[in-house]
Amino acid sequence: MSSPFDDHAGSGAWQAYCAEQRKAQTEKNRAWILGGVAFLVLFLTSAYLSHFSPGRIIEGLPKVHEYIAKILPELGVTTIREDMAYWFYAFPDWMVLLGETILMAYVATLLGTLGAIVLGFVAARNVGPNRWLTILSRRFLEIARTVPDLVYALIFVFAFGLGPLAGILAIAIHSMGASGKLFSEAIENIDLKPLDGLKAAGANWVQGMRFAVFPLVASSLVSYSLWRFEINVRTATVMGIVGAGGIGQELITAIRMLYYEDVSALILLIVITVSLTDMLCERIRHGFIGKENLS
Amino acid sequence: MLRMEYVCKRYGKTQVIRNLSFEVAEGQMVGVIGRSGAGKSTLLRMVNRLTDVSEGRIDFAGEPVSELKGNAVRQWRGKTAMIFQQFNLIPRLDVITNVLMGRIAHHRTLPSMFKLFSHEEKAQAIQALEQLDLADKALQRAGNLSGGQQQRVAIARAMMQSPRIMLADEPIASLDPRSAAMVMDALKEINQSRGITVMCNLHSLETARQYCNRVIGMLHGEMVFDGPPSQLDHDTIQRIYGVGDNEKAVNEALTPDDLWSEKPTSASAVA
Repeated sequence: MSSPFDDHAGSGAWQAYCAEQRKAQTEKNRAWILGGVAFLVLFLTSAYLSHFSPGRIIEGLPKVHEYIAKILPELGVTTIREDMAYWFYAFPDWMVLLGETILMAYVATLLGTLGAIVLGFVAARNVGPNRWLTILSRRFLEIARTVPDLVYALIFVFAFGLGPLAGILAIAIHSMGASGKLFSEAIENIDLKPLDGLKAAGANWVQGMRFAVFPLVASSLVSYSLWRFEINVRTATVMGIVGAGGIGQELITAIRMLYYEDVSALILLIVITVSLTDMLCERIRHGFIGKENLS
Repeated sequence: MLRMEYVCKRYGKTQVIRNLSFEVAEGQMVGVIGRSGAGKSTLLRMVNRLTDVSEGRIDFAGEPVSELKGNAVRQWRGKTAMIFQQFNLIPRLDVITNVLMGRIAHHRTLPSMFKLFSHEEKAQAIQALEQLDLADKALQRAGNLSGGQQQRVAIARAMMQSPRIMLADEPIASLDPRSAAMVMDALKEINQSRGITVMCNLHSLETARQYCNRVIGMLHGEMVFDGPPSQLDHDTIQRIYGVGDNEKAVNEALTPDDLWSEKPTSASAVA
């Protein structure tokens, strides 16, 4: 059977192209097959090592159901008001704790972002003031973000005692590490010509960063920081588990003391709060897209 | 007077400038011509100290330019204006702020963070823009202007530096002919009415002939011609451009290249 390619069999360039193309295709297929096998092997190995098996999931599922059934309150149609009041008996206290949680996230995001901006400039490979400072700040940001925030919280609870201060510091350090990396990457992607122009006019490093780099990344910084705030609200809700302030304290107590209905009430409040912050932040972030002259 | 003495520049093992020596008297308008990679950009960047010399020395009116360090380098850059092929404005900032950046070397770090420029400086910036027919664009974002307008903003910024010497690195290579003429006219005007020395890298021989009273021809980092454009004969042109006909030289003139061949090194961002 003749392929449509044979029509041009006379052209040497065409034949060379076809040969090249076939070769490239074979290469590509081989890469896909190899990649697929590697993926499968990795997946099966890790599933085996972590005792992840469908049997265990099926076996355990009813227990999850059982727990959920336990924590759900009894609500009657005619007695809904009383039932709700009973379910959320500590509503005012919980709202205060939720407020504390959001404020923790806010302060931590603010502190973390400030640190991230300063270190982000230093850590950017293309504009960093000095190679060693760049390496140093990159390592520092790495440490700040790789240690889980709950671990920081444990350390700070030990140092500063129970309460939101430990949580704020823990979240701030972790955010600084995570945002600092994103900021420095945003900076590494900018066009350096404006900076060159400013240097040529006699600007020092700080002035160069302020006028030739900051304006180009300002909108990304705002966007990343709002996103970080969303994440931090979520993190702040569990900080109480290790005694570092916020609503988490109440939740872990309810779980440990088997106050089943309290657990569901608290989870519901947390879900609503987190969703509301996410929606709000997303709106603000979208407002910033296109509005780029922030500086 | 700008004086270069036995200046050499190496990037690793590549020798970009070899034993360059010449003087430029105050008030001259010098065109530097040559092919891509001949060392034209490096030459200007060394004068401005965006690049350091490997050997030799540069001085200006007795000031040892190539030996300045730290703050003195920034002060020197502050009075040595530079124009770039890609304008190098800050696209997200408005035109007047871009022009005011010409005064940045005269401001201390902290106040400059808040754009605290004096009333006089702002008035001066508007005046500079007016001379270049751009006063009405003062509050527009620089990135929204056309190439020719951006280059004129860059000239206004350069004028704010009250420069003693003006270095222009392929100022018209990315512009259409009309804008190119406007930019070259502006440079000529600055040179003639204010007596500021201008050194201008040019791809096109025609432009050099038309605007400069002295031409320096570069080839592989060496100076192969120095004199008035009228003395440029066919053989010299052939040598500089390495080809026999002017047509190729003109084609060469249309390719932006120095920008890519000499990316600023990242690690040494601002000294």
